[in-house]
Amino acid sequence: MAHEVRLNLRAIQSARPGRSGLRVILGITGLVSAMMGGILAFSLTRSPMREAPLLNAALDCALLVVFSLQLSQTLSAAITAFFERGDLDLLLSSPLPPHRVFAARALGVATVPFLWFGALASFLLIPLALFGDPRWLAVYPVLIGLSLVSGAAGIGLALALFRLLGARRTRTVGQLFAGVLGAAIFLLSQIPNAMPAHGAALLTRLRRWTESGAFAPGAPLSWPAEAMMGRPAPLIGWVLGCGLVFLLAARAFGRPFTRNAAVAAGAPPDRVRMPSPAAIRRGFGGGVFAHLVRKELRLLVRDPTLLSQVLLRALYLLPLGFSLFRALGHGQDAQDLARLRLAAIAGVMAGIAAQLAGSLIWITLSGEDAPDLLACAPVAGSRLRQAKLIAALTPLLVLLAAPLIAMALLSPWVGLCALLGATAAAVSASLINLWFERPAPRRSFLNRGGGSTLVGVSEIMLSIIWGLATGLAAAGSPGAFIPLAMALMAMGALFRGARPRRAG
Amino acid sequence: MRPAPPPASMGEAALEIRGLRKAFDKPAVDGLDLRIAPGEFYALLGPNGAGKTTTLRMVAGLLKPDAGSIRVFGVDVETDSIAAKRLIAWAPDEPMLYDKLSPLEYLQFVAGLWGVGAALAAERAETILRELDLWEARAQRCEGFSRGMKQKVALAGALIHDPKLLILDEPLTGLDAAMARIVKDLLRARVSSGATVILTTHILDVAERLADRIGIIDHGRLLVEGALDDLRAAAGEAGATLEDVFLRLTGETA
Repeated sequence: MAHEVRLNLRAIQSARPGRSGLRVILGITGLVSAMMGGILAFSLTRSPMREAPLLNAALDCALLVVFSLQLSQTLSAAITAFFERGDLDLLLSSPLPPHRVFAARALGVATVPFLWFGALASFLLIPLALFGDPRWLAVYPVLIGLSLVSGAAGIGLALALFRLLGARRTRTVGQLFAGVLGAAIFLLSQIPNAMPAHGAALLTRLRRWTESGAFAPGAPLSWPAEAMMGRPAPLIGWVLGCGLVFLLAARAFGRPFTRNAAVAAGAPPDRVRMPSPAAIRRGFGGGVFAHLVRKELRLLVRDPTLLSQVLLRALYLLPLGFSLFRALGHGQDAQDLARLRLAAIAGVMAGIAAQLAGSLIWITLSGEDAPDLLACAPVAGSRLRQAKLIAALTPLLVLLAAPLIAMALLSPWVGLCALLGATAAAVSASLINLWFERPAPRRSFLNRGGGSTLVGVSEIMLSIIWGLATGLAAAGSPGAFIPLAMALMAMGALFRGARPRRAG
Repeated sequence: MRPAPPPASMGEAALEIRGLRKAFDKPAVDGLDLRIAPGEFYALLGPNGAGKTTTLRMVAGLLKPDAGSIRVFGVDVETDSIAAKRLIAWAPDEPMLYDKLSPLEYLQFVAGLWGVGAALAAERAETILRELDLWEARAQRCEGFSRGMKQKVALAGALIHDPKLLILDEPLTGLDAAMARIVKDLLRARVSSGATVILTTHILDVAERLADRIGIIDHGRLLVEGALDDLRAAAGEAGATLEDVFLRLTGETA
């Protein structure tokens, strides 16, 4: 088990951003979180920590969100472990009983989410414990218990998928499912924003449920929250309960785990349809450019894990749109309101375009799997890059075409602004990735921000700025010139910063 | 070993390297001169870190030399890189593949990059895939392939545009004995039909059996080159095996 923990720690180390990037990210996150923790701690000194139904419900919800995110991580890690094997063959060939092999792997799978969430929580917990109430440190053992359960549940879920779908399909479906699972709670939390009328009713019902005594101190639903707040009995119960679940899972899943691991190793290749001679000849047709675009599109479409990760990044911009949508609902007549809401959607579309373009272009440019093949081909580098850009932007065009057309039909001006904004945002994301191209394996997509903090931060900031510029322009506000100027200045600065790199 | 082809000094060389230098932390290639005739099978040998791969990467246009010149069939690799690349195929020891593509799709892509016509490319692809025993797996994605199969797909990619100069870095890695024989025969057939092959290998027996001439480099410099008898003479060991000659010249111990 120590071996599993060591391997996972090394994986985290290798995925971390560069030193300067790490310092900046940790510095900003630490400062913001410490301030929040300080404020919370200060308010707690005025009203000491005590279990209240609303607080209990909120803490339970937080725990549920963390569990869903952890489960997404552990399911993905479990499927990766089954198929990419690593040291799994060594473990399976060792004279260990199946339940111990499972326990070792599940512990390894659970380590990463615990370390991530533990580290994130520390920014809040340490100030809270120092300046408020030290009982908040009980969150750590609660997180350990939760991680153990999510580790076992992640592998259990992977085993269930094996049983339902077979080894071949589990690989793809499982990774997609993990992505959806990670976003599920987040999306559910957006219901009140997306559907204000239904959302309000839902919130009222939840409030009534909270006040009904279900989350009263001592009620079973309050135990997780009370464990987090350091009440001894729920805390001990939580840790022991989670430990017991883990041990039972190891007993129950040990044998299926080793059996399925063996099946995964011998999983037959995907059934393939043999192309006809005419199809083969057609496949060889077309110019260099067509071949490059076709290859990039094939690689993108055939990697559903990567594609789902890309789409999930855009998904997280939706709350901004929902919030804008709601914020515009006050003090306007119906026609103005509709126009402003449409403008807000145009802004969000530009932001999404920037996010998607940045991700897709990174995959095709920096994530090239055979850079040497392209480098020794008799094709100019500029032509290669053009083809890659077109291949990367094609899925974006497909995704945005329908909403853009709908928007243009509703309001030609807003449609035009959305088109220009999305184009400008996508072009700026493309240029940043071209200027700061840094080859990396495609599978390291999720850690791509670690390659360059500057690129990561610039992409996020510019997607927001372009979104603002587009939204304001679509609303007919001259204020659009301010974010537009900011975006152009930022691009100018990035161009200057990238010049030595390009020259080299 | 076959009888040596016409002397490399006569006519236009398939590959002509003059005063080639490349340094990273320390010199990797240090004033290398090499001349290989068209239709020659040349084996470049040397211990690990001798500068073999760096040299070949510069020939393939993947690295820029610090000094010196490289000409492929008279075309300067640096000043007219596109024209030079049209003549070359480079197959490194790590196959340059896309796991999500099938062998057929990979060949379609490579043929497209080198601008081979559709009908000709389709015909060549079938021939090569059959020769390399990949035809049945032509539509399967490479991600499930063994190392040896990936190596064969990469080799097929190197052959699809019928290069005049084929540069292979450890081409037999991961291949079983039967397939290694097929690949060796295939390479010899290419040479017989006029192509030039340069390969690096750690299997000295392969160099001894296949190559017309052998060059041994160490510390980025050519120590000796010629037919096996020339190498024996240089090492002062008549009747010695290539392994004995190699170890003696590079100062390595068995």
